[in-house]
Amino acid sequence: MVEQMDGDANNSFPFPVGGGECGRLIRDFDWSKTDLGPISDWPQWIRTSVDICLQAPIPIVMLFGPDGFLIYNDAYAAFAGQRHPQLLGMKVLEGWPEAADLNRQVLDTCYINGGTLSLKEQPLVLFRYNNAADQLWLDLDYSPILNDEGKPGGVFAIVVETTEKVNIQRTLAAERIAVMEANKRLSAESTFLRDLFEQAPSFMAIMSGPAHVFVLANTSYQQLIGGRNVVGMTIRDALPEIVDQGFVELLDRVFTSGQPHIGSGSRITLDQTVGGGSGERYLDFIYQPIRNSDGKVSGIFVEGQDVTERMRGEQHLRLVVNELNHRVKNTLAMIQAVAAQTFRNAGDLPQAQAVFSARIMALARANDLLTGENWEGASLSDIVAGVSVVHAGNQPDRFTAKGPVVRLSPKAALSLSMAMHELATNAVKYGALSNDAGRVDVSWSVKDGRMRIEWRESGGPSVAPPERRGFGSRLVERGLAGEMGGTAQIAFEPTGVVCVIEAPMDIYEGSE
Amino acid sequence: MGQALRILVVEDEMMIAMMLEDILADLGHHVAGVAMRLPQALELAKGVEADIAILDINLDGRKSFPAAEVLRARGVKLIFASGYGSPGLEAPFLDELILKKPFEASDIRSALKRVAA
Repeated sequence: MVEQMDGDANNSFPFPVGGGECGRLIRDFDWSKTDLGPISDWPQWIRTSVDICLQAPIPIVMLFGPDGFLIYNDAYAAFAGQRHPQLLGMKVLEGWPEAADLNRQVLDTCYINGGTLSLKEQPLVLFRYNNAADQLWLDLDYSPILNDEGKPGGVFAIVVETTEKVNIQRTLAAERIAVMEANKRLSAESTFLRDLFEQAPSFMAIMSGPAHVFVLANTSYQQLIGGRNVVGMTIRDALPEIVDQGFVELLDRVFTSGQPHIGSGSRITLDQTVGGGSGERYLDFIYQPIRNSDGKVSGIFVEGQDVTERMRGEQHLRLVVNELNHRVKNTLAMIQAVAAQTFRNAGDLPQAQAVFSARIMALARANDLLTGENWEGASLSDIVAGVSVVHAGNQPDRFTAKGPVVRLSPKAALSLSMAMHELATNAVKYGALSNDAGRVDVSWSVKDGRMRIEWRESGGPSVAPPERRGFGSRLVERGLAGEMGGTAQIAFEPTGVVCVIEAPMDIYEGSE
Repeated sequence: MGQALRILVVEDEMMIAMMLEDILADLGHHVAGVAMRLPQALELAKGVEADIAILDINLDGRKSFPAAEVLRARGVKLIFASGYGSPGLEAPFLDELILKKPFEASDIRSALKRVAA
């Protein structure tokens, strides 16, 4: 770029001396067509300026006269690109039409008013190569060239292109912004991940090294262990109660083998757990080895769910299913017994079938009643009402029930229901409910820890004791008495059947 | 049919107790007594004249073993009965015969035959 002096001085001292390519072009140019006139007539101040310009190693351009005829050196020519050499000797506004505004300001400031103009990193779009727009930045320093009369005769301009510097600065700034944005994004991402970890519904912890030191434990994990702070502690120090429960051995194995461990419904007993107190929990969990960049296990990621409620639900369900099976088997045994009693010595099969069916229905009603009470027992009045609805349904005034509130155990309720079904069946067939006028009055009372239930029929056909005691009598007098731990008597009085049951009260409150 | 035996029935389900009575009568045996709860069973066990006792293990939530101990001490042979899901036999009765409910007359007959032999 830097052009040395040619030093090809000859005897006639041609002007300008040297000046490289531009020097030669200036010598050969026909300046008579310009305001400067033929080169041989140039005054000394122009010649001196041209010499200074041509000898300088930095890009310098000069604008002569009010139109700013251009003279410049080789360094400037290099800057001007393909606009050189046509640019030489042109009017500045015609030579650089794309920079006309700037050059008008230059001529005004320096040529007309004799001032200086200094522009740092001035952006400009020039068309220097192949007529293509080219964004560049320049440091521009303009000063007037004084003529022999001390007035501005031209403008001296030093043009330093700083595009490369500006581009580097711009790139650096853009990179800095990109880095800042990336940092911001990373920070947001890490906050998001941390929040996700903290708020995850499953429990999570990260342990480091062969001693399993807690590095992180999320909120769910801390809840599981009763709010204990474990970060920075080994598993043995943090949760001493689990050392003998096999979990530390599992962690050791995962750490040495690099194989994950999955636990399903595992029982764990914690000194402090959900809610603060000690207790038993059931967990689904995974111990996942964490490997460093060398592929070596450096820690273990623990993740899982507390499935205690689900396990308890399943246990409860198993209990319920077992209990249900028990009841079904019990009921089948009862039905077997009812069938055996009913068809034993039955003379008339269709009749026996009807009786059997009615007894099974009575059993089913008692079951319904107990199921409605969650098999915790039943009230005596509900049992009597059930019998009344079935056997005197359309004439409720012929069947009355009166007594205090008494609760019976499930077994007592079942037996009494069956016994009353037999009494009512007999009443419909032979007794007070067999005509249009008779009635049944059931009453009960409690006194001195004993209860007394009375079934009294009246208004029916006159009654004589049967020749043979049937199933019903036997059920009441033997079965019910035994079931209740008391006595039960049926009297066939002329006015109607009377049945009196007496039993200690505690039987009715007995446990199942 | 063999010799008539005197049999104590301990069963907390009224209908099943009655069915057992009928089955035993049909088989030609004599029912020496029926108890449906543990206190009555204990009471009967002390004085009943019986060769064999058929005892339901679960008597309304209580186990019949105390009555069984009294009976065994008096030389009465034992047959236990158990429903589904009910407790099983316990020491010192682990070797005793156990009938699964529900049972039939033929089950009772063969159980009695084995115990009486």
